[in-house]
Amino acid sequence: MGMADKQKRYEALVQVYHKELYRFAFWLSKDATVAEDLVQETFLRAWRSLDSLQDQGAAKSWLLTILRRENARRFERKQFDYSDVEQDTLVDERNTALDDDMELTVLQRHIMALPDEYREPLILQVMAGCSGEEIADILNLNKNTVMTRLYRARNQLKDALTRNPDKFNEAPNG
Amino acid sequence: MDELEFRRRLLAQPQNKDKELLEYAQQNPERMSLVNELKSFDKELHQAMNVSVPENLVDKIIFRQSMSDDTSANTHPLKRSPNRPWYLALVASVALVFTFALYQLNSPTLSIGEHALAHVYHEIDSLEAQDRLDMATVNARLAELGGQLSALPGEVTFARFCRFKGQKSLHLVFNSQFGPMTVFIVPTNNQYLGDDYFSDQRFAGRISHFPKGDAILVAAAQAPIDEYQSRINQSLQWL
Repeated sequence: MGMADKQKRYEALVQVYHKELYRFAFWLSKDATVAEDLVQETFLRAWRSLDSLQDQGAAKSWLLTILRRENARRFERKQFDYSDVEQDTLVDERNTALDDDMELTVLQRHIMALPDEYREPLILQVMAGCSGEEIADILNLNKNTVMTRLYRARNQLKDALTRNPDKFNEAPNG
Repeated sequence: MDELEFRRRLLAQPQNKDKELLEYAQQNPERMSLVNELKSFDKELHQAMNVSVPENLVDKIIFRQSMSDDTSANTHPLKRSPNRPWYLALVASVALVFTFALYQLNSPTLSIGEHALAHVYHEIDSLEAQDRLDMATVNARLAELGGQLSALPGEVTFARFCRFKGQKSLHLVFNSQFGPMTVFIVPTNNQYLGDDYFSDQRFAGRISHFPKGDAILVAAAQAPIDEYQSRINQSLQWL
């Protein structure tokens, strides 16, 4: 593929998928700044291995998979960065950062509060419009597991909303 | 199918168009109301998940790629790998020309100021460079671009060629009493895009136009930048 074609193809991918990738990154990292970094890293990696993407139809899953891997790398790095900081402090900082970043609605806070393993497939399904097969592919799970997690994700959300519709309106430390 | 199975499948995928599932739902109004309830719940979820995306994200992504190792290795010694064969640099430089030509033609164009800020952030380490370069070294490089500086208002710690909006340019950093300042000397004369003043929360910048090129100064937002701009402009000569 010529350089010019590669560049065109790349920019088209950026235009079409940057929003979905940013949102996926936001819900993975729960941090707007980290999300932006993740998207940039993801597209840089995509640029470097663009030749390996043969099937345009698979572009979205491919990009989401790269992003997810980038996010996992972030945790590997973080382990070393913060090894001597008490974990409690970390959690507090994170909540503060989140509150500063954006005002979240009750529903958004309930989505945030879901365990990662439920939140991730739900974001992929509802926000990114991925099919069960695509989600299974991205998360490297079998489809039945994905469907079970999606069921549990909605079940937990509905449960939380019925039991505690205003829980997240209270101050985080209140 | 039983109630439990129905519920499990519907909650896993409210948009499910499976025939068996839909027929089972239609047998009973309660099941139908669950179908509708879950569809509207998914709409709410979708809205909640669609957080706003930062402006200029596309620009930033494309800029970062255009500045990445693969394309600019030859002009950014900071990032160069010592083990890379020389011919890769040649390949990269050809690639770079194409990339930038295309970048400028096809992309939402960044103004000079936006580019300068993005460039400083991209090479933020340059502000902490510790080299001590005399003016002879700086001028040896600057001469290639047709310029000379009699002095800079501070010790020069960084002087490397770079690509500035596709143009081979000199990227200088000097230490002032207001912290490190960046100067781009860009030998071109027709890029009157955007404002000659720019800033963000951290940096402020000024663009000075000369017949043979531009001098772009980027300093800490609080620094008396106009004073430094005029000192640099007085010192800069075009050959």
